[in-house]
Amino acid sequence: MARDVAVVTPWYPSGELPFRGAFVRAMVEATTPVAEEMTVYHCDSWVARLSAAEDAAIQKAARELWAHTADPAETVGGAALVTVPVVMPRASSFAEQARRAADALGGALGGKPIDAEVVHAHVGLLGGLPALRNMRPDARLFVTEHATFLDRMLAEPDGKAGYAEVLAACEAFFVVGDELHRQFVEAFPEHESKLRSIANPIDFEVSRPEPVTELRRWLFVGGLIERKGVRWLLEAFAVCHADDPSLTLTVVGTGELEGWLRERAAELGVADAITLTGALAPDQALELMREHDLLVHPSRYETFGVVIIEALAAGLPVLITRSGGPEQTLAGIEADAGEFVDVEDAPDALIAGFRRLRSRFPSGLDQVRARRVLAERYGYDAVARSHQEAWFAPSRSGQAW
Amino acid sequence: MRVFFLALGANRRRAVIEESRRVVESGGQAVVLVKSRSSWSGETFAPGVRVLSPPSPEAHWPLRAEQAALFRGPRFLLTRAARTMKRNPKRWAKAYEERVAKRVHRGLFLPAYRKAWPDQQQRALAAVVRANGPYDAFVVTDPASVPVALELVDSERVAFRIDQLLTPANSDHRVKR
Repeated sequence: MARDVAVVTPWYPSGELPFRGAFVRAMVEATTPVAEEMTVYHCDSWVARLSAAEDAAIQKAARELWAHTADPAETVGGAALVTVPVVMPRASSFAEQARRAADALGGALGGKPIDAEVVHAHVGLLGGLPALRNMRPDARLFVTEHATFLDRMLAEPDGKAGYAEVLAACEAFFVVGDELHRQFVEAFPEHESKLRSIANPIDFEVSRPEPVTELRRWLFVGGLIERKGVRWLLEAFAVCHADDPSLTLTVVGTGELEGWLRERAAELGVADAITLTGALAPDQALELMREHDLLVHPSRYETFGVVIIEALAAGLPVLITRSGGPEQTLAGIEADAGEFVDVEDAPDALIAGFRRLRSRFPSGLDQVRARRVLAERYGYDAVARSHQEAWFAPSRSGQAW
Repeated sequence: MRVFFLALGANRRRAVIEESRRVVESGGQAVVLVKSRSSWSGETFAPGVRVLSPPSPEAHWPLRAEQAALFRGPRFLLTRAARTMKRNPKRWAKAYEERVAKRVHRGLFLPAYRKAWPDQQQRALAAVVRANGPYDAFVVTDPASVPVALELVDSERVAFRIDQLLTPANSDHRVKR
């Protein structure tokens, strides 16, 4: 039984977007040991303002350029990484993005199908449809869905039709988080039997050299956008900083609120206590987790909240919102890991949450237990096992693999 | 390794900055071709990265002649006429350029240039590559650079991310492409 696996994904960390798709890379790293060979096809959207003539000329040239293209790069776990530029005019619909990714992948493959028995796509429409259009007739398709904008993709008639096509063709459709699961059951009740819950894999191998002794150095890692609760974070930090001027806040990430963050920090008189690092490579962000005391993650909505598990894996307590995913991922170890607060349109809950957490730190937390439980749930071994069972189990049609 | 980055679209700047830095840090030479340096004025390249831009289109002699006949000459005459008649010379010149000169330039001269010298941009870019080459590889970084790379490539390898050149997949790995 050959165990070649191809991964098709719209997201994978790159020089342009070092964070995007970190969980896909973690999944690749976790699962390469169970595959004989693994090739990752990163259908990378290159967005530009283009006229129809420019668009056509660029797409034609891109197909011809593949004859000159260097071999793939090596990525984690020894897998090969093929970067497929997908030329994308601004404001393309999701279905159009998927169609273009499928065409670009076809160009990269030179018209041949993906040479793998197992094809695992990330994001049903943007990765699943390109995979389906380019895989062998006898290949088995698996999909992992973790898009936070699933509702917007399903709201487009063509987007929903694309999902229906992928769901009908795939062996199993992995979903990260109950909220996405609910959306799929509501939209495609006929495919409920194919839905399976899965977690993003987290590396638990490296921890901080010394445990946290005081909750002084706050860390935020994520996009500087409304959904991540950046405004509450800053307002709450300013209040807590007034109580304890030794507090600091490091903000890792970029986004539309970066300018606001700088201006408001100055207005609140806390600019000197805040460091904005901009976007960092995932390795650098993990390193920072080992150098801080508390991860504050005030997101309004998360399907999974991978950064929270990464922080706990790095030995960092967390102050987080009940934003969907984290309640599930930390079920049973909430008090051991840190403090939960409700999603509110004001910073009060975060402020109160920090004060509660500080009052019971460190004896009220059990970081060791939290880490052990999470490693069992989301460690590389657990994720590799679940993928291995799905990829190489007998197919639904009863054919032995 | 000498690596030539094509970054004419300037819409994936972070990748260009980061990847050219990695080439230099690995002991290679990185040259970045940009369309206009002003688009990159807010960016800082790593020490050792050379940034080039193609010669301005104004250097092409027919365009120089047209600019003189259609823009600079009439502007000079209109300015003097307006002053003589105690009118606003800037307004006269601007009105002429908007209503006449630019329309003639776009409607008559630009199509004529494209017909008479269809490969002018390509030749200018090829001259830049020749003058600063040879290179082991081109890295294509944005959509606008794709057709240009196809025109310029000869024996060089083409990559869409620098890892293809710095950390290629193990040669034992069967290339699935």
